[in-house]
Amino acid sequence: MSYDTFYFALFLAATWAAFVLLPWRGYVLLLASIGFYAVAGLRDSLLAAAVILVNYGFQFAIMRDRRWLYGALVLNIGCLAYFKYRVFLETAAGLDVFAQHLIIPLGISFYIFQLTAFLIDLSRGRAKPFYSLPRFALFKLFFGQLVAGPIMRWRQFGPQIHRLFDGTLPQRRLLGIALGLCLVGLIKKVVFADALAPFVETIFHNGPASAAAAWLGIFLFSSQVYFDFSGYSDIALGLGYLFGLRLAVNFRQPFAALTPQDFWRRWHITLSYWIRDYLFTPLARLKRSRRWADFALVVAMALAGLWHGANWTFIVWGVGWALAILLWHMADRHLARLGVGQWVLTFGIWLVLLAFFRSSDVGAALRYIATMFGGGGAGTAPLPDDGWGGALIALGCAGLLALHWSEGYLHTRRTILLMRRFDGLLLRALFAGLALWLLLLPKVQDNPFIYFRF
Amino acid sequence: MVRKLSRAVAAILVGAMLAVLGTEAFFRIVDATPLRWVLPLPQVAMYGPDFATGYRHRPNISGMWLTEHRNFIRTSNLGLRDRDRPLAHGAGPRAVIVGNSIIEAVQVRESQTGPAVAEAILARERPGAEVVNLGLSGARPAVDVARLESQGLALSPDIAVVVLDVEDFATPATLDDREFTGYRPDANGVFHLSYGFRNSSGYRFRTSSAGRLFYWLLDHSEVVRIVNARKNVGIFAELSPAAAAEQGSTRCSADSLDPYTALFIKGEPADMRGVLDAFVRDLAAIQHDKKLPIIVATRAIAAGCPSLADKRSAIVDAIRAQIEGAGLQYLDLDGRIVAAMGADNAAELYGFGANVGFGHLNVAGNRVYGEILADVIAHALPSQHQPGR
Repeated sequence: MSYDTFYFALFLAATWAAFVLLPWRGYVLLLASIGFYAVAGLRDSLLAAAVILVNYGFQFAIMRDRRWLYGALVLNIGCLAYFKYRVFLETAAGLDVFAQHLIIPLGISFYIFQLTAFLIDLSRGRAKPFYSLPRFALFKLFFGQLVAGPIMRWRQFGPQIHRLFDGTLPQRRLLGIALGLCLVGLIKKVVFADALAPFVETIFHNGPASAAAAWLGIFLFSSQVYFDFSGYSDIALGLGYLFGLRLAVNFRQPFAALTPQDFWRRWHITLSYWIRDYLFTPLARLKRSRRWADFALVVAMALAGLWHGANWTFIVWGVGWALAILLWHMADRHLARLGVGQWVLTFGIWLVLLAFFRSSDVGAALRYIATMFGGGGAGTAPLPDDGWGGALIALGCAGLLALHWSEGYLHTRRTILLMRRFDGLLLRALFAGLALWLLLLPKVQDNPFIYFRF
Repeated sequence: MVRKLSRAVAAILVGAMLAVLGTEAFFRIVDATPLRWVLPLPQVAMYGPDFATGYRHRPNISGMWLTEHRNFIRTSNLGLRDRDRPLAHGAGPRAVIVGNSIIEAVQVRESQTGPAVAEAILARERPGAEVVNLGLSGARPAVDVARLESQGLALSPDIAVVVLDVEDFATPATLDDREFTGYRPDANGVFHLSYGFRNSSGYRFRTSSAGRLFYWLLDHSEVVRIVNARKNVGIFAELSPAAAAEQGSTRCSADSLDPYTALFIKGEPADMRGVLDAFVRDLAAIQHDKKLPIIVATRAIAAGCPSLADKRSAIVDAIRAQIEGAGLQYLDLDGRIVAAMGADNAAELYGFGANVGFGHLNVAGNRVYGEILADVIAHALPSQHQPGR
């Protein structure tokens, strides 16, 4: 079930009504979440149920003996590898251990990562076990973050789940903000991300005919993927607030980052911190040397890339980011003098590496990057040859960046206080109405959320 | 308590009204600026009711077409996907081309459609020559005949071309007259044009005063267009997204021509054979009664598939025999395209952007269609036509 559909709005309205009217709020959300995921199909649902049940059992085993964590990790990562990386392993390593053709189950990367983080936290004494299966199930299954995050930690989400089931979770105080976030997310997805999709598709499918077309294509894809995923994340936040739950923020104006490190503190924040806390830090601590830490960073970023998909392009993308971070660190003092040049360089690194994220293979990505730097475009996707068209495109791109910058004002304390001050039935009806009109508009092309496929 | 409740209701209503106004304002801004080439907006609603065919273009409607390829559309003064022109015959020869969305070509500019290209080519040799586009999305054989009879003959043409998708003879929808003209059998099993749609509640509404108000709103409000578009696709449309087009993968498959072999050679199924016979009979009658030369052009019979060459040849021969046997002229459009372009390049005439190879004719495809149609019309027209016949 996708958030940008009219039937999801009907599902949400029914769930919210039941949530408000019935006393068993935790169970209402759990049932709704099961129904939400069931639309993905029986196979995906059974797999998710099995993973949740197995992890539920593992928490008690880990409480008795920490070594059970390794078993849980093998099972979780093995499950992810089997369902997501089977074909990649086969072709990359010549393995042929699995015969069946499999489709990647919906949201598997997200729920495996969240459950794994929980078990690691539990083994470190940073989380408490869920004795109740429904509470444990809702910890992972809540439909506001089930399919594409944010990847929640126990300390952020666990206590909220308990308060929800205990009936002590405050609700309906943030409805205006909740609906406002859903509306902002829908605008990002429906108005911008989906509108950019056909242009990006054309440039990457036909290939850019010139360096300018290549830069335009990658910039538009960059905007598409940002508006798509941050739009989803805004809706997820809003859905959480609708039911009195606070989910983690996943984006903080990443295109305003001044350094590569800063970028990763702003882009897909919950995944970045997951990689840092459960991959990079344990790996870096194995040896206390600078070189080893750098090596750990490369490995962690390569795996972060691989998390996005079973393709060498994602690994190169991750390694590219690791190298960018390391090189930046080495030249930090000199680069700091660049001023706004730092932003240009960081945004440029993002755009160039994004070619790997979007291309079907490494060769295609390298050809695309070569075209960006004047290596001769072999493609057929041109820019408009009249000055007026070019000016409009430049204006549109500037508008997209301006929108990104203006988001800084949306997530401020002042805006939230203002929203709370004016929150009321009128504002809620206005936000809900605007969102409904966007959902009613039929889709010309099917553009599922990009991160659903991860 | 009552006061509190009424204030709450009023607040909700005001909020909802502001949402309507905000949505209307947003889409109007998009529609009125170059943003319309990028951002989402409701698609132009250019069809209205028609007594002869069930539906047709409404005159002088303009707006953005979004499906497959964004394009600014304006229907003509005569209610056609055509340039404005007088109903009366001009000094030069006039041809009409009847067909479905392939001829309608809403994905490209009007001047780039096949009929417009054909007109430009013909006018070079015969000043004042006109080629009128009577293409209508979704038109099947019965609609083609009814449209030629009603709107085509009103233009006093010197020649008519009916471009036909043979796939239409393989779908039971051709027998359905609930929404637009279909072929239905009489008591003796002979098929005739049938207009069941005229008794439908939808048609009665669209032709009533309330319907006229509805169309006025449709032409003047973006939110009404959204509601209308949602009604057309269905509330739960996104639950079952349309299957991706796979024409390319099945075009040359061994059994792709079997339904046509059955229909055109073996005469099966009998009801579809009856429709085919009625279609040819009706066109022949128009040709005879109105002294109007008619060319029937068939498309969507896999050309350029070496493994199917024999089967295809037999089917085309059977169609040609039936059509020419009735005194009509025949054009194997697919064969002409492959001869002009080569089998490997023919797919490039369809689709836009990343979807080249699938869908409707693109600019190049319309140009090729236009060139072929111009050639066929030029050869079929009498050398000295008599205006206003």
